Amino acid sequence: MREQLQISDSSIWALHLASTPIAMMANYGLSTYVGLSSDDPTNMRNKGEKFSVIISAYGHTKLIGRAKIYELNPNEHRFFCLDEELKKLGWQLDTSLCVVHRVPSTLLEGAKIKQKEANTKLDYSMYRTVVQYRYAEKGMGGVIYETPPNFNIAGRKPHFLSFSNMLYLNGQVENYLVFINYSVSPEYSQTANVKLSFNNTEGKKIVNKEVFVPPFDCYCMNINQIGELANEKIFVSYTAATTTSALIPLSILVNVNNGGISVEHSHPPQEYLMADWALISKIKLAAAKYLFNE
Amino acid sequence: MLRKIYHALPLSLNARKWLNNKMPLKWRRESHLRDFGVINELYCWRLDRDIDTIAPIQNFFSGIFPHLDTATEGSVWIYDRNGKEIAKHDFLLPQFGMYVVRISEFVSKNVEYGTFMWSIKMPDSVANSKDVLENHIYFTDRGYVCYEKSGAQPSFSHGVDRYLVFQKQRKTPSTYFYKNQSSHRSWLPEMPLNMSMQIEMDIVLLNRSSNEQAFTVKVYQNGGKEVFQTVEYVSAGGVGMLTFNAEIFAMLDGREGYFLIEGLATKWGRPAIMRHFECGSLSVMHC
Repeated sequence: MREQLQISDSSIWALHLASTPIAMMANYGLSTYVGLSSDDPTNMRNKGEKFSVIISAYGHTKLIGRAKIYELNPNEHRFFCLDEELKKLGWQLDTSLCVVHRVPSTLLEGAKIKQKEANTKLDYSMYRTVVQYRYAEKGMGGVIYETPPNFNIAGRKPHFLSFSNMLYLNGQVENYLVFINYSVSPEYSQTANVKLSFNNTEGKKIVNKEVFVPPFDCYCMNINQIGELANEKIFVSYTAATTTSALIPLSILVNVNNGGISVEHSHPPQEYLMADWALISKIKLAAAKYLFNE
Repeated sequence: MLRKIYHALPLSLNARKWLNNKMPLKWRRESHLRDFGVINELYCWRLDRDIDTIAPIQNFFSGIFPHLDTATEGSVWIYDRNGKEIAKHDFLLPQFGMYVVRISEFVSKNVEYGTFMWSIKMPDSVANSKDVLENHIYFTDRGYVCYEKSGAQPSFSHGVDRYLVFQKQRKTPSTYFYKNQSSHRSWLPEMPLNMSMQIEMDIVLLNRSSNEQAFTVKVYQNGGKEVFQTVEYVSAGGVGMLTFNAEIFAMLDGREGYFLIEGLATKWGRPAIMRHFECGSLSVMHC
Protein backbone atom coordinates (compact mmCIF):
# COMPACT_ATOMS: atom_id res chain seq x y z
CA MET A 1 0.00 0.00 0.00
CA ARG A 2 2.88 2.43 0.74
CA GLU A 3 3.64 3.87 -2.65
CA GLN A 4 6.11 6.71 -3.08
CA LEU A 5 4.80 9.45 -5.33
CA GLN A 6 6.42 12.00 -7.58
CA ILE A 7 3.97 14.87 -7.74
CA SER A 8 4.72 17.80 -9.99
CA ASP A 9 4.21 21.38 -8.80
CA SER A 10 1.24 21.77 -11.13
CA SER A 11 -0.55 18.98 -9.27
CA ILE A 12 -0.04 20.45 -5.82
CA TRP A 13 -3.55 21.95 -5.94
CA ALA A 14 -5.13 18.57 -5.23
CA LEU A 15 -2.95 17.98 -2.19
CA HIS A 16 -4.43 21.03 -0.49
CA LEU A 17 -8.10 20.24 -0.90
CA ALA A 18 -7.87 18.58 2.52
CA SER A 19 -4.54 18.72 4.32
CA THR A 20 -2.95 19.39 7.69
CA PRO A 21 0.70 20.21 8.51
CA ILE A 22 1.84 18.42 11.66
CA ALA A 23 4.82 18.97 13.94
CA MET A 24 6.64 15.71 14.64
CA MET A 25 7.46 15.69 18.34
CA ALA A 26 9.61 12.56 18.74
CA ASN A 27 12.53 14.65 20.00
CA TYR A 28 10.32 15.71 22.92
CA GLY A 29 9.26 12.18 23.85
CA LEU A 30 5.91 12.33 22.08
CA SER A 31 4.59 10.00 19.42
CA THR A 32 2.31 11.48 16.80
CA TYR A 33 -1.00 10.10 15.56
CA VAL A 34 -3.51 11.39 13.06
CA GLY A 35 -7.23 10.64 12.96
CA LEU A 36 -8.72 10.81 9.45
CA SER A 37 -12.21 10.50 8.09
CA SER A 38 -13.69 10.12 4.62
CA ASP A 39 -16.87 11.87 5.74
CA ASP A 40 -17.82 15.53 5.45
CA PRO A 41 -18.11 16.82 9.06
CA THR A 42 -21.17 18.87 8.09
CA ASN A 43 -22.69 15.60 6.79
CA MET A 44 -23.92 17.26 3.60
CA ARG A 45 -21.28 17.10 0.88
CA ASN A 46 -19.26 14.52 -1.06
CA LYS A 47 -21.19 11.45 0.07
CA GLY A 48 -19.66 8.07 -0.64
CA GLU A 49 -16.26 9.51 -1.54
CA LYS A 50 -13.02 7.51 -1.25
CA PHE A 51 -9.77 9.26 -0.40
CA SER A 52 -6.13 8.45 -0.94
CA VAL A 53 -4.14 9.32 2.17
CA ILE A 54 -0.83 10.86 1.15
CA ILE A 55 1.92 12.13 3.42
CA SER A 56 4.57 14.72 2.56
CA ALA A 57 7.62 14.55 4.82
CA TYR A 58 9.84 17.60 5.32
CA GLY A 59 13.22 17.81 7.04
CA HIS A 60 15.70 20.67 7.20
CA THR A 61 13.17 22.77 5.23
CA LYS A 62 13.22 20.39 2.25
CA LEU A 63 10.73 17.85 0.96
CA ILE A 64 12.07 14.39 1.76
CA GLY A 65 9.36 12.58 -0.12
CA ARG A 66 5.68 11.86 -0.65
CA ALA A 67 3.93 8.56 -0.31
CA LYS A 68 0.44 7.17 -0.44
CA ILE A 69 -0.14 5.25 2.77
CA TYR A 70 -3.79 4.21 2.67
CA GLU A 71 -7.05 4.24 0.78
CA LEU A 72 -9.82 5.53 3.01
CA ASN A 73 -13.19 3.99 2.15
CA PRO A 74 -16.53 5.80 2.45
CA ASN A 75 -17.74 6.03 6.07
CA GLU A 76 -14.32 5.19 7.46
CA HIS A 77 -12.61 6.96 10.38
CA ARG A 78 -9.18 5.73 11.29
CA PHE A 79 -6.12 6.56 13.38
CA PHE A 80 -2.58 6.28 11.97
CA CYS A 81 0.67 6.45 13.91
CA LEU A 82 2.75 8.86 11.83
CA ASP A 83 6.03 7.78 13.45
CA GLU A 84 5.38 4.22 12.30
CA GLU A 85 4.37 5.30 8.80
CA LEU A 86 7.53 7.39 8.44
CA LYS A 87 9.64 4.54 9.81
CA LYS A 88 8.29 2.16 7.16
CA LEU A 89 9.42 4.69 4.54
CA GLY A 90 12.80 5.23 6.20
CA TRP A 91 12.08 8.94 6.73
CA GLN A 92 11.46 9.08 10.48
CA LEU A 93 14.87 10.34 11.59
CA ASP A 94 14.91 13.41 9.35
CA THR A 95 11.26 14.43 9.38
CA SER A 96 10.32 17.43 11.52
CA LEU A 97 7.16 18.41 9.65
CA CYS A 98 4.72 15.99 8.08
CA VAL A 99 1.74 17.06 6.01
CA VAL A 100 -1.17 14.66 5.77
CA HIS A 101 -3.30 15.02 2.64
CA ARG A 102 -6.56 13.44 1.66
CA VAL A 103 -7.03 13.41 -2.10
CA PRO A 104 -10.35 12.23 -3.54
CA SER A 105 -9.48 8.98 -5.27
CA THR A 106 -11.26 10.11 -8.43
CA LEU A 107 -8.50 12.70 -8.87
CA LEU A 108 -5.74 10.09 -8.97
CA GLU A 109 -4.69 8.07 -11.98
CA GLY A 110 -2.27 5.49 -10.68
CA ALA A 111 0.46 7.42 -8.92
CA LYS A 112 -0.37 10.69 -10.69
CA ILE A 113 -2.82 13.45 -9.94
CA LYS A 114 -5.10 14.48 -12.79
CA GLN A 115 -4.89 18.02 -14.09
CA LYS A 116 -7.41 20.43 -12.67
CA GLU A 117 -10.41 20.79 -14.91
CA ALA A 118 -11.67 24.30 -15.53
CA ASN A 119 -14.98 25.21 -13.88
CA THR A 120 -14.85 22.20 -11.58
CA LYS A 121 -16.01 23.17 -8.12
CA LEU A 122 -14.61 21.01 -5.37
CA ASP A 123 -15.55 21.85 -1.81
CA TYR A 124 -13.61 20.16 0.98
CA SER A 125 -13.50 23.09 3.39
CA MET A 126 -13.57 22.09 7.07
CA TYR A 127 -12.07 18.68 6.26
CA ARG A 128 -9.75 18.67 9.25
CA THR A 129 -7.38 16.16 10.80
CA VAL A 130 -7.31 15.01 14.40
CA VAL A 131 -3.69 15.52 15.49
CA GLN A 132 -2.90 13.53 18.58
CA TYR A 133 0.23 13.19 20.69
CA ARG A 134 1.03 10.43 23.17
CA TYR A 135 3.52 10.51 26.02
CA ALA A 136 5.37 7.40 27.20
CA GLU A 137 2.54 4.99 26.31
CA LYS A 138 0.33 6.80 28.81
CA GLY A 139 -2.12 9.60 28.07
CA MET A 140 -3.01 11.21 24.76
CA GLY A 141 -4.10 14.68 23.79
CA GLY A 142 -5.60 15.85 20.55
CA VAL A 143 -6.57 18.88 18.53
CA ILE A 144 -8.30 19.31 15.20
CA TYR A 145 -7.26 21.69 12.41
CA GLU A 146 -6.46 21.98 8.73
CA THR A 147 -4.19 23.99 6.42
CA PRO A 148 -5.89 27.39 6.22
CA PRO A 149 -6.97 28.31 2.66
CA ASN A 150 -4.14 29.83 0.57
CA PHE A 151 -1.78 29.50 3.51
CA ASN A 152 1.41 31.51 2.79
CA ILE A 153 0.57 31.35 -0.92
CA ALA A 154 3.11 32.96 -3.25
CA GLY A 155 2.41 36.57 -4.19
CA ARG A 156 0.78 37.66 -0.95
CA LYS A 157 2.16 39.38 2.13
CA PRO A 158 0.97 37.34 5.08
CA HIS A 159 1.45 38.27 8.72
CA PHE A 160 0.72 36.61 12.02
CA LEU A 161 -0.54 37.72 15.40
CA SER A 162 -1.71 35.45 18.16
CA PHE A 163 -2.31 35.78 21.89
CA SER A 164 -3.30 33.10 24.32
CA ASN A 165 -3.16 31.94 27.91
CA MET A 166 -2.64 28.23 27.34
CA LEU A 167 0.38 27.77 29.56
CA TYR A 168 0.38 26.06 32.95
CA LEU A 169 3.45 26.54 35.11
CA ASN A 170 3.25 24.19 38.09
CA GLY A 171 6.55 22.29 37.92
CA GLN A 172 4.92 19.03 36.77
CA VAL A 173 4.01 20.18 33.29
CA GLU A 174 6.30 20.64 30.29
CA ASN A 175 5.00 23.61 28.28
CA TYR A 176 5.76 23.83 24.58
CA LEU A 177 4.74 26.53 22.10
CA VAL A 178 5.02 25.17 18.58
CA PHE A 179 4.93 27.36 15.48
CA ILE A 180 4.40 25.71 12.09
CA ASN A 181 5.65 27.60 9.02
CA TYR A 182 4.08 25.83 6.06
CA SER A 183 2.93 26.99 2.62
CA VAL A 184 0.70 25.75 -0.18
CA SER A 185 3.32 27.11 -2.62
CA PRO A 186 6.34 24.83 -3.15
CA GLU A 187 8.59 27.83 -3.89
CA TYR A 188 7.89 29.44 -0.50
CA SER A 189 11.15 30.25 1.26
CA GLN A 190 10.37 32.74 4.04
CA THR A 191 11.88 32.21 7.47
CA ALA A 192 9.55 33.70 10.06
CA ASN A 193 11.10 35.97 12.65
CA VAL A 194 8.65 35.57 15.54
CA LYS A 195 8.69 37.97 18.45
CA LEU A 196 6.99 37.00 21.67
CA SER A 197 6.03 38.85 24.79
CA PHE A 198 4.98 37.14 28.05
CA ASN A 199 2.69 38.88 30.56
CA ASN A 200 1.55 37.92 34.04
CA THR A 201 -2.06 38.05 35.28
CA GLU A 202 -1.63 41.68 36.35
CA GLY A 203 -0.69 42.53 32.77
CA LYS A 204 2.95 43.24 33.56
CA LYS A 205 5.39 42.26 30.83
CA ILE A 206 7.76 39.60 32.15
CA VAL A 207 10.05 38.94 29.21
CA ASN A 208 10.39 39.28 25.44
CA LYS A 209 11.73 36.49 23.25
CA GLU A 210 12.53 36.03 19.59
CA VAL A 211 12.64 32.81 17.56
CA PHE A 212 13.15 31.95 13.90
CA VAL A 213 10.95 29.41 12.15
CA PRO A 214 12.38 28.12 8.85
CA PRO A 215 10.02 27.50 5.92
CA PHE A 216 8.45 24.04 5.71
CA ASP A 217 9.48 23.43 9.26
CA CYS A 218 8.34 24.09 12.79
CA TYR A 219 9.89 25.52 15.94
CA CYS A 220 9.23 24.10 19.38
CA MET A 221 9.85 26.51 22.23
CA ASN A 222 10.21 24.97 25.71
CA ILE A 223 8.62 27.55 27.98
CA ASN A 224 9.91 25.84 31.13
CA GLN A 225 13.41 26.85 30.10
CA ILE A 226 12.62 30.58 30.25
CA GLY A 227 14.15 31.52 33.58
CA GLU A 228 12.20 34.77 33.95
CA LEU A 229 8.94 32.76 34.16
CA ALA A 230 10.17 30.46 36.93
CA ASN A 231 8.62 32.43 39.77
CA GLU A 232 5.34 33.30 38.09
CA LYS A 233 1.90 32.00 39.07
CA ILE A 234 0.43 29.05 37.17
CA PHE A 235 -1.12 31.14 34.40
CA VAL A 236 0.79 33.55 32.17
CA SER A 237 -0.20 34.81 28.75
CA TYR A 238 1.79 35.42 25.62
CA THR A 239 1.49 37.47 22.46
CA ALA A 240 3.38 36.39 19.34
CA ALA A 241 3.74 38.17 16.02
CA THR A 242 5.63 38.21 12.78
CA THR A 243 5.12 40.48 9.80
CA THR A 244 6.48 38.09 7.16
CA SER A 245 4.54 34.84 7.38
CA ALA A 246 1.38 33.18 8.53
CA LEU A 247 1.95 30.51 11.16
CA ILE A 248 -0.05 27.83 12.94
CA PRO A 249 0.53 28.17 16.71
CA LEU A 250 0.02 25.18 19.00
CA SER A 251 0.23 24.91 22.74
CA ILE A 252 1.33 21.41 23.82
CA LEU A 253 1.39 20.71 27.56
CA VAL A 254 2.66 17.42 28.98
CA ASN A 255 2.17 16.35 32.58
CA VAL A 256 5.17 14.09 33.07
CA ASN A 257 3.64 12.41 36.14
CA ASN A 258 0.32 11.11 34.83
CA GLY A 259 1.13 11.34 31.12
CA GLY A 260 -1.71 13.76 30.43
CA ILE A 261 -1.42 15.90 27.32
CA SER A 262 -3.18 19.10 26.33
CA VAL A 263 -3.00 20.21 22.70
CA GLU A 264 -4.85 23.24 21.40
CA HIS A 265 -4.27 25.87 18.74
CA SER A 266 -4.73 29.55 19.46
CA HIS A 267 -6.91 31.78 17.34
CA PRO A 268 -5.85 34.40 14.84
CA PRO A 269 -7.27 37.87 15.62
CA GLN A 270 -9.89 37.52 12.88
CA GLU A 271 -11.71 35.10 15.17
CA TYR A 272 -12.23 38.03 17.54
CA LEU A 273 -13.41 40.55 14.95
CA MET A 274 -16.67 40.54 13.02
CA ALA A 275 -15.82 43.21 10.46
CA ASP A 276 -14.72 43.63 6.84
CA TRP A 277 -11.61 41.62 6.00
CA ALA A 278 -9.64 44.69 4.88
CA LEU A 279 -10.19 46.31 8.27
CA ILE A 280 -9.31 43.13 10.14
CA SER A 281 -6.08 42.85 8.19
CA LYS A 282 -5.23 46.51 8.88
CA ILE A 283 -5.86 46.15 12.63
CA LYS A 284 -3.87 42.93 12.81
CA LEU A 285 -0.82 44.29 11.00
CA ALA A 286 -0.86 47.54 13.01
CA ALA A 287 -0.96 45.56 16.26
CA ALA A 288 1.88 43.26 15.20
CA LYS A 289 4.06 46.24 14.23
CA TYR A 290 3.25 48.23 17.37
CA LEU A 291 3.86 45.35 19.74
CA PHE A 292 7.39 44.85 18.52
CA ASN A 293 8.37 48.39 17.49
CA GLU A 294 8.50 47.72 13.77
CA MET B 1 -38.43 44.45 4.90
CA LEU B 2 -35.48 45.46 2.68
CA ARG B 3 -33.77 42.17 3.56
CA LYS B 4 -36.90 40.24 2.49
CA ILE B 5 -37.09 42.12 -0.81
CA TYR B 6 -33.38 41.52 -1.42
CA HIS B 7 -33.74 37.79 -0.86
CA ALA B 8 -36.85 37.62 -3.06
CA LEU B 9 -35.14 39.30 -6.05
CA PRO B 10 -34.37 36.83 -8.88
CA LEU B 11 -30.64 37.63 -9.05
CA SER B 12 -27.74 35.50 -10.19
CA LEU B 13 -25.09 34.63 -7.60
CA ASN B 14 -22.61 37.03 -9.19
CA ALA B 15 -25.14 39.85 -9.26
CA ARG B 16 -26.04 39.19 -5.64
CA LYS B 17 -22.36 39.26 -4.68
CA TRP B 18 -21.85 42.56 -6.55
CA LEU B 19 -24.90 44.10 -4.92
CA ASN B 20 -23.84 42.84 -1.52
CA ASN B 21 -20.47 44.56 -1.83
CA LYS B 22 -22.15 47.84 -2.77
CA MET B 23 -24.42 47.86 0.29
CA PRO B 24 -23.31 49.61 3.46
CA LEU B 25 -21.96 47.12 6.00
CA LYS B 26 -24.75 48.02 8.40
CA TRP B 27 -27.42 46.88 5.91
CA ARG B 28 -25.69 43.59 5.25
CA ARG B 29 -26.10 42.60 8.86
CA GLU B 30 -29.08 41.22 10.72
CA SER B 31 -31.03 43.83 12.69
CA HIS B 32 -29.47 42.90 16.07
CA LEU B 33 -25.92 43.28 14.71
CA ARG B 34 -26.01 46.80 13.30
CA ASP B 35 -24.39 48.76 16.12
CA PHE B 36 -21.16 47.60 17.68
CA GLY B 37 -20.56 45.39 20.67
CA VAL B 38 -19.23 42.16 22.08
CA ILE B 39 -20.48 38.64 21.37
CA ASN B 40 -19.56 35.97 23.87
CA GLU B 41 -19.53 32.19 24.04
CA LEU B 42 -21.05 29.55 26.34
CA TYR B 43 -18.71 27.00 27.94
CA CYS B 44 -19.05 23.78 29.89
CA TRP B 45 -17.69 23.39 33.42
CA ARG B 46 -17.35 20.21 35.39
CA LEU B 47 -16.28 19.30 38.92
CA ASP B 48 -16.79 15.53 38.83
CA ARG B 49 -14.12 12.86 38.21
CA ASP B 50 -11.52 14.88 40.15
CA ILE B 51 -11.70 17.69 37.58
CA ASP B 52 -11.83 21.42 38.26
CA THR B 53 -12.58 24.00 35.59
CA ILE B 54 -10.58 27.20 35.30
CA ALA B 55 -11.10 30.14 32.98
CA PRO B 56 -8.01 32.35 32.78
CA ILE B 57 -10.01 35.18 31.22
CA GLN B 58 -7.65 37.15 29.01
CA ASN B 59 -8.06 40.80 28.03
CA PHE B 60 -8.17 40.11 24.30
CA PHE B 61 -8.67 43.82 23.56
CA SER B 62 -5.03 44.41 24.55
CA GLY B 63 -3.73 42.01 21.90
CA ILE B 64 -5.80 43.64 19.17
CA PHE B 65 -5.28 47.27 20.25
CA PRO B 66 -1.92 47.29 22.06
CA HIS B 67 -1.57 51.06 21.57
CA LEU B 68 -4.74 51.82 23.57
CA ASP B 69 -5.45 51.76 27.30
CA THR B 70 -7.62 48.64 27.39
CA ALA B 71 -8.01 48.17 31.14
CA THR B 72 -11.64 47.23 31.68
CA GLU B 73 -14.05 45.14 33.73
CA GLY B 74 -16.04 41.98 33.23
CA SER B 75 -18.51 39.51 34.69
CA VAL B 76 -18.80 35.77 34.84
CA TRP B 77 -22.12 33.92 35.10
CA ILE B 78 -22.27 30.30 36.23
CA TYR B 79 -25.27 28.07 35.46
CA ASP B 80 -26.34 24.56 36.33
CA ARG B 81 -26.73 21.93 33.61
CA ASN B 82 -30.23 23.26 32.84
CA GLY B 83 -29.01 26.80 32.27
CA LYS B 84 -30.28 28.15 35.62
CA GLU B 85 -27.97 30.80 37.11
CA ILE B 86 -26.26 29.70 40.32
CA ALA B 87 -23.55 32.37 40.69
CA LYS B 88 -22.40 35.66 39.24
CA HIS B 89 -19.15 37.47 39.86
CA ASP B 90 -17.75 40.82 38.66
CA PHE B 91 -14.06 41.53 38.18
CA LEU B 92 -11.55 44.10 37.00
CA LEU B 93 -9.28 43.25 34.09
CA PRO B 94 -5.96 45.08 33.65
CA GLN B 95 -4.48 45.92 30.27
CA PHE B 96 -2.76 42.76 28.99
CA GLY B 97 -4.00 41.05 32.16
CA MET B 98 -6.04 37.99 33.04
CA TYR B 99 -8.65 37.22 35.66
CA VAL B 100 -8.51 33.61 36.77
CA VAL B 101 -11.91 32.10 37.61
CA ARG B 102 -11.83 28.73 39.33
CA ILE B 103 -15.34 27.24 39.20
CA SER B 104 -14.92 25.19 42.40
CA GLU B 105 -14.70 28.49 44.33
CA PHE B 106 -18.26 29.32 43.27
CA VAL B 107 -20.04 25.98 43.01
CA SER B 108 -20.58 23.21 45.52
CA LYS B 109 -18.56 20.07 44.77
CA ASN B 110 -21.73 17.95 44.69
CA VAL B 111 -22.91 19.68 41.53
CA GLU B 112 -21.21 17.74 38.76
CA TYR B 113 -21.36 19.94 35.69
CA GLY B 114 -23.05 22.92 34.09
CA THR B 115 -22.39 25.89 31.85
CA PHE B 116 -20.78 29.30 32.30
CA MET B 117 -19.98 32.39 30.32
CA TRP B 118 -18.15 35.63 30.75
CA SER B 119 -18.25 39.02 29.15
CA ILE B 120 -15.50 41.60 28.98
CA LYS B 121 -16.82 45.15 28.70
CA MET B 122 -15.50 46.97 25.65
CA PRO B 123 -12.94 49.49 26.97
CA ASP B 124 -13.77 53.19 26.45
CA SER B 125 -10.72 53.69 24.27
CA VAL B 126 -11.90 50.94 21.91
CA ALA B 127 -15.56 52.00 21.93
CA ASN B 128 -14.57 55.54 20.98
CA SER B 129 -12.20 54.55 18.19
CA LYS B 130 -13.05 55.52 14.61
CA ASP B 131 -12.76 51.96 13.33
CA VAL B 132 -15.32 50.68 15.81
CA LEU B 133 -17.78 53.53 15.35
CA GLU B 134 -17.62 53.57 11.55
CA ASN B 135 -17.31 49.89 10.82
CA HIS B 136 -19.70 48.53 13.42
CA ILE B 137 -17.25 45.99 14.73
CA TYR B 138 -18.55 43.22 16.92
CA PHE B 139 -15.83 41.59 18.98
CA THR B 140 -16.31 37.86 19.33
CA ASP B 141 -14.71 36.48 22.46
CA ARG B 142 -13.84 32.83 22.00
CA GLY B 143 -11.67 32.12 25.01
CA TYR B 144 -9.75 29.16 26.32
CA VAL B 145 -10.91 27.01 29.23
CA CYS B 146 -8.60 24.82 31.30
CA TYR B 147 -9.97 21.53 32.64
CA GLU B 148 -7.63 20.61 35.48
CA LYS B 149 -7.36 16.93 36.43
CA SER B 150 -6.24 15.99 39.96
CA GLY B 151 -5.09 19.54 40.66
CA ALA B 152 -2.07 19.28 38.37
CA GLN B 153 -2.87 18.19 34.81
CA PRO B 154 -4.30 20.85 32.49
CA SER B 155 -6.27 20.26 29.33
CA PHE B 156 -7.27 23.35 27.37
CA SER B 157 -10.04 23.79 24.85
CA HIS B 158 -11.38 26.86 23.12
CA GLY B 159 -14.93 27.97 22.41
CA VAL B 160 -16.41 27.08 19.02
CA ASP B 161 -19.58 29.14 18.60
CA ARG B 162 -21.36 32.35 19.62
CA TYR B 163 -23.98 32.84 22.30
CA LEU B 164 -25.19 36.28 23.45
CA VAL B 165 -24.79 39.82 22.13
CA PHE B 166 -23.73 42.66 24.45
CA GLN B 167 -24.53 45.84 22.55
CA LYS B 168 -22.04 48.70 22.74
CA GLN B 169 -20.52 48.76 26.23
CA ARG B 170 -23.45 47.24 28.08
CA LYS B 171 -22.80 44.84 30.91
CA THR B 172 -25.89 42.73 30.29
CA PRO B 173 -26.79 40.86 27.11
CA SER B 174 -29.62 42.04 24.90
CA THR B 175 -30.19 39.17 22.48
CA TYR B 176 -29.03 35.76 21.44
CA PHE B 177 -26.52 35.80 18.59
CA TYR B 178 -28.64 33.27 16.69
CA LYS B 179 -32.15 34.61 16.27
CA ASN B 180 -33.53 31.35 14.92
CA GLN B 181 -33.07 27.90 16.35
CA SER B 182 -32.65 24.98 14.00
CA SER B 183 -33.00 21.27 14.45
CA HIS B 184 -31.85 20.18 11.03
CA ARG B 185 -28.11 20.58 11.28
CA SER B 186 -25.86 17.68 12.05
CA TRP B 187 -22.18 17.18 12.77
CA LEU B 188 -20.13 14.13 11.94
CA PRO B 189 -16.88 14.52 13.88
CA GLU B 190 -13.68 13.32 12.20
CA MET B 191 -12.60 11.74 15.49
CA PRO B 192 -12.35 7.95 15.08
CA LEU B 193 -13.81 5.88 17.90
CA ASN B 194 -11.12 3.44 18.93
CA MET B 195 -11.72 1.50 22.13
CA SER B 196 -8.05 0.74 22.73
CA MET B 197 -7.13 4.40 23.14
CA GLN B 198 -9.09 5.44 26.23
CA ILE B 199 -11.33 4.01 28.95
CA GLU B 200 -14.26 6.34 28.39
CA MET B 201 -15.18 9.31 26.26
CA ASP B 202 -17.71 11.98 27.26
CA ILE B 203 -19.60 13.79 24.52
CA VAL B 204 -20.43 17.35 25.63
CA LEU B 205 -23.46 19.00 24.04
CA LEU B 206 -24.08 22.70 24.66
CA ASN B 207 -27.34 24.42 23.75
CA ARG B 208 -26.73 28.06 22.78
CA SER B 209 -30.32 28.64 21.67
CA SER B 210 -33.33 29.97 23.58
CA ASN B 211 -35.30 26.69 23.65
CA GLU B 212 -34.76 23.12 24.74
CA GLN B 213 -33.01 21.09 22.05
CA ALA B 214 -33.08 17.36 21.33
CA PHE B 215 -29.69 16.08 20.21
CA THR B 216 -29.69 12.63 18.62
CA VAL B 217 -26.40 10.81 19.05
CA LYS B 218 -25.67 7.84 16.77
CA VAL B 219 -22.67 5.51 16.83
CA TYR B 220 -21.52 3.63 13.71
CA GLN B 221 -19.03 0.94 12.90
CA ASN B 222 -16.72 1.83 10.02
CA GLY B 223 -18.63 1.11 6.85
CA GLY B 224 -21.76 2.77 8.11
CA LYS B 225 -23.58 0.18 10.27
CA GLU B 226 -25.43 1.99 13.08
CA VAL B 227 -24.94 0.24 16.43
CA PHE B 228 -26.26 2.71 19.00
CA GLN B 229 -28.64 5.65 19.18
CA THR B 230 -29.91 7.88 21.95
CA VAL B 231 -31.53 11.28 22.36
CA GLU B 232 -30.18 13.88 24.78
CA TYR B 233 -32.54 16.71 25.73
CA VAL B 234 -30.66 19.88 26.67
CA SER B 235 -32.28 22.99 28.17
CA ALA B 236 -31.63 26.45 26.76
CA GLY B 237 -28.23 27.59 27.98
CA GLY B 238 -27.60 24.15 29.42
CA VAL B 239 -25.38 21.20 28.71
CA GLY B 240 -25.83 17.48 28.16
CA MET B 241 -23.13 14.90 28.71
CA LEU B 242 -23.21 11.41 27.26
CA THR B 243 -20.53 8.85 28.13
CA PHE B 244 -19.25 6.33 25.62
CA ASN B 245 -18.22 3.57 28.03
CA ALA B 246 -16.82 0.08 27.50
CA GLU B 247 -20.29 -1.23 26.68
CA ILE B 248 -20.75 1.23 23.81
CA PHE B 249 -17.18 0.76 22.54
CA ALA B 250 -17.80 -3.02 22.53
CA MET B 251 -20.57 -2.44 19.97
CA LEU B 252 -17.85 -1.47 17.50
CA ASP B 253 -16.94 -5.17 17.52
CA GLY B 254 -13.20 -4.57 17.73
CA ARG B 255 -13.23 -2.18 14.81
CA GLU B 256 -12.92 1.58 14.67
CA GLY B 257 -16.02 3.63 14.23
CA TYR B 258 -17.46 7.10 14.48
CA PHE B 259 -20.42 9.07 15.79
CA LEU B 260 -22.93 11.55 14.47
CA ILE B 261 -24.82 14.31 16.27
CA GLU B 262 -28.15 15.36 14.76
CA GLY B 263 -30.04 18.44 15.89
CA LEU B 264 -27.36 21.09 16.42
CA ALA B 265 -29.27 24.10 17.72
CA THR B 266 -26.77 26.63 16.37
CA LYS B 267 -24.56 26.77 13.31
CA TRP B 268 -21.23 25.86 14.84
CA GLY B 269 -22.50 24.27 18.05
CA ARG B 270 -20.56 21.09 17.52
CA PRO B 271 -19.69 18.85 20.46
CA ALA B 272 -16.58 18.68 22.60
CA ILE B 273 -15.12 15.40 23.75
CA MET B 274 -13.46 14.60 27.06
CA ARG B 275 -11.43 11.40 27.16
CA HIS B 276 -10.41 9.51 30.30
CA PHE B 277 -7.28 7.36 30.20
CA GLU B 278 -6.13 4.38 32.25
CA CYS B 279 -3.12 6.35 33.56
CA GLY B 280 -5.57 8.78 35.19
CA SER B 281 -5.15 11.61 32.71
CA LEU B 282 -7.76 13.65 30.88
CA SER B 283 -7.85 15.01 27.35
CA VAL B 284 -10.34 17.59 26.09
CA MET B 285 -10.90 18.74 22.54
CA HIS B 286 -13.62 20.34 20.49
CA CYS B 287 -14.87 18.62 17.35
